Amino acid sequence: LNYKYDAVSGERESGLLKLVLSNSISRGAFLTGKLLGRLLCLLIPLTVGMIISLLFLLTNPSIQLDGADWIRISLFFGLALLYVSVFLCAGLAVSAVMRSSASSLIIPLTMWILAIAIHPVLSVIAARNLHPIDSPGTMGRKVQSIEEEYQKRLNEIWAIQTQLRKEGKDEIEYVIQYNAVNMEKGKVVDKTKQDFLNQFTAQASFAGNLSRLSPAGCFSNATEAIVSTDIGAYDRFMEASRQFWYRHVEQRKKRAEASREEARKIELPEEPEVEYPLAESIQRAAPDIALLILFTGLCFIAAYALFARCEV
Amino acid sequence: VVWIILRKELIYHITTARVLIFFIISASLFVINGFTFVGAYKSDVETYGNPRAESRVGRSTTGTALTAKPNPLEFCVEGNAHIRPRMLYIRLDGTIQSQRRSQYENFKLPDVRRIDWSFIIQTIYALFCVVLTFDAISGERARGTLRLMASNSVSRAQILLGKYLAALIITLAVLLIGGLMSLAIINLLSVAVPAKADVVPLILFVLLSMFYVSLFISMSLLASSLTRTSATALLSLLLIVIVLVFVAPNMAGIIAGKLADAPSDYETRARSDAVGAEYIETAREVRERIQSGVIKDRDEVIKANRDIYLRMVEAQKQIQKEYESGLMRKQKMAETLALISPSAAFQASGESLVNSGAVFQRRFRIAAERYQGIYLDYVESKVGEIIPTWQPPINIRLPDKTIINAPEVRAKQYDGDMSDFPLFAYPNPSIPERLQNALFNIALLILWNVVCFLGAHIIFIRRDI
Repeated sequence: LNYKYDAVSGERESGLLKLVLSNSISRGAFLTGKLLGRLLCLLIPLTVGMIISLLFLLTNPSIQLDGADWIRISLFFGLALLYVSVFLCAGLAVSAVMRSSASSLIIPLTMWILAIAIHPVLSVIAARNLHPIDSPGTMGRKVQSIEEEYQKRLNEIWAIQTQLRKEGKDEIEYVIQYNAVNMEKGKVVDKTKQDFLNQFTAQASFAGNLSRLSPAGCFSNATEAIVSTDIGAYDRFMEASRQFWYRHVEQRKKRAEASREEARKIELPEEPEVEYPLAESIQRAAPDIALLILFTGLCFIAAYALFARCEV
Repeated sequence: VVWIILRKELIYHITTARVLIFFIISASLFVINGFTFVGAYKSDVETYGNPRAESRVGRSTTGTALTAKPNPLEFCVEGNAHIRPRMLYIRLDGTIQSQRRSQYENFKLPDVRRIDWSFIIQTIYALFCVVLTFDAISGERARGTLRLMASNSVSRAQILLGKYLAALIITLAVLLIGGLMSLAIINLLSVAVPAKADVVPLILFVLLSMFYVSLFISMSLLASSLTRTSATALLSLLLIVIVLVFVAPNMAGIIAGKLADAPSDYETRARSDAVGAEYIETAREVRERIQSGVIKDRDEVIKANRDIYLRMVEAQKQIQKEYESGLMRKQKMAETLALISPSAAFQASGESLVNSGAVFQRRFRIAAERYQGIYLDYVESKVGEIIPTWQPPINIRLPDKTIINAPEVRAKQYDGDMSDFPLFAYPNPSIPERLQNALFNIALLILWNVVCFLGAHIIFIRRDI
């Protein structure tokens, strides 16, 4: 915004605009030139900043970046440029209509503050109120009541089991029953917690969709997806961990059925290799990238339309 | 003369679009503040009890919990109360444990700051003051009206004062209208807020806000007298506001995190685990002493085992204490570093005045520590001795393969009358105490004001118009 606010209005104020346009330069070419020139100017600090940051990272031996990481970093860089150009075009559009440079700074500034400081807070508030989920208390009580119910059943079986043992009778039937109920309890509790997590995801994606109303929201959604620090990547990790645990339980069950010695062995299955494929990241980022391009295009068209019709 | 300039400026401001836009943004944010506060407050009251009622303390001799009452003034300064622990557990081993966040909170939503008055004033009002006054001098200078005005029998100090007062009055008027809208919503939707006791802190907070916005007005006047064009004034002011309001308070936390000498989460857990492993190692010691005949009978075995266990718990407690004092050091350092920004000084003094945020958190902790001593004396008087740590039942296998069952060790619950249970003195400082607490930060704000206004005055007097 600081770069762009006086692009047109400044030249208009100083009278240079008339001079430039009196040559055989179209207004479209003038605007495109302004945009590209300032984009290139911004490219320098952005590139230098990122290179310094990367150099710091690379001097640390615990950080190793592979080919896919470099592609992600390049994509991030591209997204940063796209994001910057949205604001450049918006600044250009405002600068085209405004008479004074100072006023052409105030409007985009207000938009910027709304986009950066207010809009993210509002999307979360809106998500909490328009897409409400159960309160933490309700959720906690629900899980607790399920656990208590099963515990009651387990205690009953345990009592019979203890009684049988005291009497010297065969208790194996109840041991099996106890284990079955215990496993069922685990599954039901897990299912309930999963339902809660799904509610969380739904609410968070609602907030995510609302955040797409501003280019800043689109930018953070897209970059999070590209570098796999978004909710999608988190869910992927959790799912892999869950599958890992299920495999472990299955293996133990099999070993328990095989023999007593086998059952005692504690061997974990192979650790899950959680992968975040680049293609999938790009797919998740695609809507936000498209929106950023749309924002840029709309702002540029607006700038062109306003500049073409205004007096110099 | 000042009155004439003031009137002219007021009329000029009221007719501009920027005041209208600002008014709309401000009013919408205050309305949102009202609605969101009522929702959060009602759910807090449901979970943690009515703030007007007596402090609730769990009557038990095995440990107790203290609850931070919902603060009806949190719509003013919330101070991240929604992520701070609301309960402190007083344990018999002399530690105080903070409540953890519920696992059923939606952690997938971005953790954003609540829209309280302090947030609105810190960000939107700071910017508004800049937008309102950046061209107060430079604009008139460019248009040539400044010369015209100064050619009358009016001093430059009067011109400056008139412009300053006009901007201040407009800003405060918008603030008061917004604040009243928010209060109206809160009162319509919830009867308990705010009560008589909250009026004085509320008025003090509005006065504090006046100091805060006034400093940005003075700063804008300074930049406006210093620069040739309004656009340059606006640009430089924007940079200053972004650094002072958005960057500096956040950077302070990051720098303190790096500089303060505090053990990390990971380090603490690793050390605690190492102590646990050491415990298993020293448990062997007992067996060796049994083997060598130093320890003979059953009770002695159990006692020796208990001693080792207590040593482990003590060591882990120490590690936890170091961790917590490290966190405190970090927080203190961050607060000190943040004082470079008037925004942080405003936040801190606001928290002191309405008794919320980090300031309240510290007061609550100190009160809890004081209460712990009283509570432990009470437990001792009721059940005779304090059993600091629960220990699970353990089977100790002796060299001759006999097994000794060390029973569970558990604090005793007193069954008799506990009507004399000590009450918790809830940290509710009086107004003078709150003011005293906020004094340093308020002084800083005033200093900013004086420096900026004097700077503006000196530059305006010496500059060519």
